[in-house]
Amino acid sequence: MKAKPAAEPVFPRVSPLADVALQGRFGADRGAPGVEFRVRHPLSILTVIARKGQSAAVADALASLKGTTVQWAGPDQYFVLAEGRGEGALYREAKAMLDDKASVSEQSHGRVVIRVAGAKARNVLAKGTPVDLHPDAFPVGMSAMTQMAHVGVHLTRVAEDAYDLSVFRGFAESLWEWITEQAEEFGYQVK
Amino acid sequence: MKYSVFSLLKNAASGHKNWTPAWREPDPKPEYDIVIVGGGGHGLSTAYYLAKEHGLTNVAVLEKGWLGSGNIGRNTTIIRSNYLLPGNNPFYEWSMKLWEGLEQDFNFNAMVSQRGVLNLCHTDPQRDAFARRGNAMRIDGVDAELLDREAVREMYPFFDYDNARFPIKGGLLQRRGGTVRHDAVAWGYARGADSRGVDIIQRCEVTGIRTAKGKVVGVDTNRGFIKCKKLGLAAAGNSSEVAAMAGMKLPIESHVLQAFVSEGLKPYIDGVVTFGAGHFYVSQSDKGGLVFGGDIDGYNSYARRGNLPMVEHVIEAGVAMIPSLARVRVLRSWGGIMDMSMDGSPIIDKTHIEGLYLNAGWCYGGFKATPASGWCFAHTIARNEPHSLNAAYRLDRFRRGYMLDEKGQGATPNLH
Amino acid sequence: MLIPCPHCGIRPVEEFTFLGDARPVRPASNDPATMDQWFDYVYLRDNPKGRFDEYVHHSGGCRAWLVVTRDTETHEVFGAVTARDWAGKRKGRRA
Ligand SMILES: Cc1cc2nc3c(=O)[nH]c(=O)nc-3n(C[C@H](O)[C@H](O)[C@H](O)COP(=O)(O)OP(=O)(O)OC[C@H]3O[C@@H](n4cnc5c(N)ncnc54)[C@H](O)[C@@H]3O)c2cc1C
Ligand SMILES: [Zn+2]
Repeated sequence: MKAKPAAEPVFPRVSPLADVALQGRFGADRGAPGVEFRVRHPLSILTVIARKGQSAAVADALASLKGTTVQWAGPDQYFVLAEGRGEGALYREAKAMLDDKASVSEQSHGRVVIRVAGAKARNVLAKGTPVDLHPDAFPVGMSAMTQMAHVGVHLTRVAEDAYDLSVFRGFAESLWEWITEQAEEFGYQVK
Repeated sequence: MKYSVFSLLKNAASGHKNWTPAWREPDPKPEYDIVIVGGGGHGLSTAYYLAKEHGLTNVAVLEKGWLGSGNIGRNTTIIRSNYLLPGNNPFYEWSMKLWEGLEQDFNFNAMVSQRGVLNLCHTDPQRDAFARRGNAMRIDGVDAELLDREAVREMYPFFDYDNARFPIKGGLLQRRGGTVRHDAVAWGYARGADSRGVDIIQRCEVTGIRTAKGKVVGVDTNRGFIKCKKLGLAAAGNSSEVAAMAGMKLPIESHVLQAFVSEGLKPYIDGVVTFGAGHFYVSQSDKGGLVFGGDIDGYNSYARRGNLPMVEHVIEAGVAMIPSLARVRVLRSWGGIMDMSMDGSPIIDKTHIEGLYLNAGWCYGGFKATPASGWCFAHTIARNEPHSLNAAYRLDRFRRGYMLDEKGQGATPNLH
Repeated sequence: MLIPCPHCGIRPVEEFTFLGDARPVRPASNDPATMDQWFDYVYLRDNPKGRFDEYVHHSGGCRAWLVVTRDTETHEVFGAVTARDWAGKRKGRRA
C-alpha cells in the first residue's frame, strides 16, 4: 500500500543579503547619489529550459504567464521572475503549463536579484563586465550572462537607467562587497 | 680553457681581452653518428653525456634559433624532486644528485642554489596529501619535511596566515630543492659537449626527417641534408611538429606558460614558495628580482606569449599569499611553449623507427630534469635501450595503460 | 583574445574554458578490435601550429559549447559556431 505523500514542507525565502545590504547613504556624499541599490526580495525565480524543438512553443507559453517578467538566460533558456507570489506558486503554475515542453526549476532560494539604478549605474556595471552597455547595443529588455569580479552574473537592462543583476546566493555577499565599492566614487543609496 | 681562480686572475691582468669563446661555431659536416634536434637544455645535456659517459663524440646538436632561445632560457629555474609516484621519484632524485655535482663536473658556474622549495597547504585534506607525498619521497630516499603553520611562519613571517579564504596551515619542504641559473645550464653543457668534440650548430632548423626501410638516414635542414645513423628529438614545445616529419603523431599538446620578473628588491624571499590555493609561485633571483609564475593559460598555443587573465590570476593569488607584494612593480613577462603530455609525465624512449629516439612531454617542469633527462636519453640512444631510471617514460605506456599521472587528471593536457 | 560567441556576441577569453581539439571523432564501436581507433581518439593529437578548431565552453557566459577556429601561432580568432552546428556540419560531410 502506498502511503499518501506528506504535504511539502514550506521554507520561507531568506535573502542572503539580509544582514549585508544595510540601508542608507554611502560613499561620496555630495549631491544626489549616483547609484541606487535595492535587493529585490522576496522574488519568485524560475529557470526554464526548452526541450529539443520546443523553443518557440516555450517562448509563446511564457509570454502568456501573467504578472511575470521573462528574461533570456542562454540558448533556449529563460529566467522567469515574479513578485508577490507565495512559496512555490510560480513554479507549480509554470510546471503545469510547460511539463512536456521544458524543464522548470525553482531558483527563488538559489539566486538573488539586485536592482542597480541611477545616472551612474552604467558606469558601475561597466567596471565589471566586457558587455557593451551602450543603449544601442544593450537596449531595455535585453539580458546578458557574463562575469563580474570572477562571479557569474545575469544582467538585464530594465529601464534606461536601471538594471537587474542576478547572482547565485553563495556569491551574493562577495559581489555585493565588490559592487558597492565600485559605486563609492559616485555615492550610493541602499534602499 | 679551464675556468678557475687562476684563469680569472690571469685574464683580469690582461683586461679580460683574451677569453676564448665557450664553444665553437662549426659548419655542419655531411654526416654524424648521432644528430640531436633541439639545442635546449635537454638536447645539450644529451650531447654532453653521450660524449662524457659513452665516449660518443661524432655528434651534432642542431638548434634552429640560438642557444637558450627556447624554454631553457624562459623558465623560472626551479629544481626539486618532490614527486609522489614511484616512476618519477628515482628519476628526479637522480637529477637532483647530478645538479649537486654539476658545476664541478662541467667546470661552469651555474649558480646551483639549494635554498629550499616550500609548498604551502591551506586545508586539512591538502596537508594529508602533503604527508602522503612527503612519505613517498622519503621511501625513495628524498628529503622531505612536513611543516606546521608556526614553522612556516618562522621562515616567512610576512605571509598572510589568517587570510579569510586561504589561511596557511603548513607546508611541505624539500630543503635540497632550489634554483639554478637557467641559461648558464645551457652554456655549461654546450661548452662541455663542445670541448669533447660535439658540434653545436645554431640557426640550423630541421625541416624534414628521412627514413629508409624503417630506419633513420638523416635530416633535411636549412643548411642542407645531414646524414646520421641515430637521431634524437629534444624539441620541447615543438615536439609534435618535428615528430610529424617522421610521420608520428604524439600524445602531446603545446600550451603557453607565462612567467614574470619584478624590479630588483633587497633580499626578501629566501627560498622558493608555492601557493596552494591558486596558481602562484615565487623566488628571488640573485639580482633581487622576484621571479614568479602560475599555471599554463589553458589553450593550445605556439605563440610564446599569453593573455592577461592569467596575469591577473597569478597576481591575485600572489597578493593573497603575500599582501606586501601589492606594492612591487613587475618589469617583464614572457611565455614559453610547453609540451604538455597526456598524463603530465615525460617521454624518453626509442620509437618504432630504428635509430629514432624521442625526448618530449616535459610540461612545465622539465628544467629540473635537464641533467637526468640528458643522462637517460644519452643512455637510451647509446645502448638502444632505456635505463631503469626512465623505464616508466616509455612512449607506449598510454596504449598499455601505464599512465604516470601525478595529478590523476586523465588525458586532458591542459589540466596537468 | 576575443571570441565571438554566437549567442552572446564578442566576449574576452576569461569567460571561456578550453577543452581542446575538435577534430578527433569518437569511435562508434566498443568492439575491442577498435582499440587502435580509441587509442588515437583519446591520446593522440595533431597539435597543429596554425589554424585549429577547438571545443570551447562559454562557462562564464551562456554556458554553450562552441567550436572556435583560431590560429595557435598568432592567437587570431577566425570565428565560432555552436558545437551543435559543428556536429551537424560534420555529419553532413561524412554522409
Ligand atoms: C615560463 C616557464 C617557466 C618554467 N619554469 C620551470 C621551473 O621552474 N622548473 C622546471 O623544472 N621547469 C620549468 N619550465 C619548463 C622547462 O623550461 C622545460 O620543460 C624545459 O626547458 C624543456 O626542455 P629544453 O630545455 O630542452 O627545451 P627548449 O629550450 O625549448 O629546447 C628545445 C629547442 O628545440 C629547438 N627546435 C625546435 N624545433 C626545431 C627544429 N625543427 N630544428 C631545430 N631546432 C628546433 C627550439 O628552438 C628549442 O631551442 C618552465 C617553462 C616555462 C616556459
Ligand atoms: Zn555565449
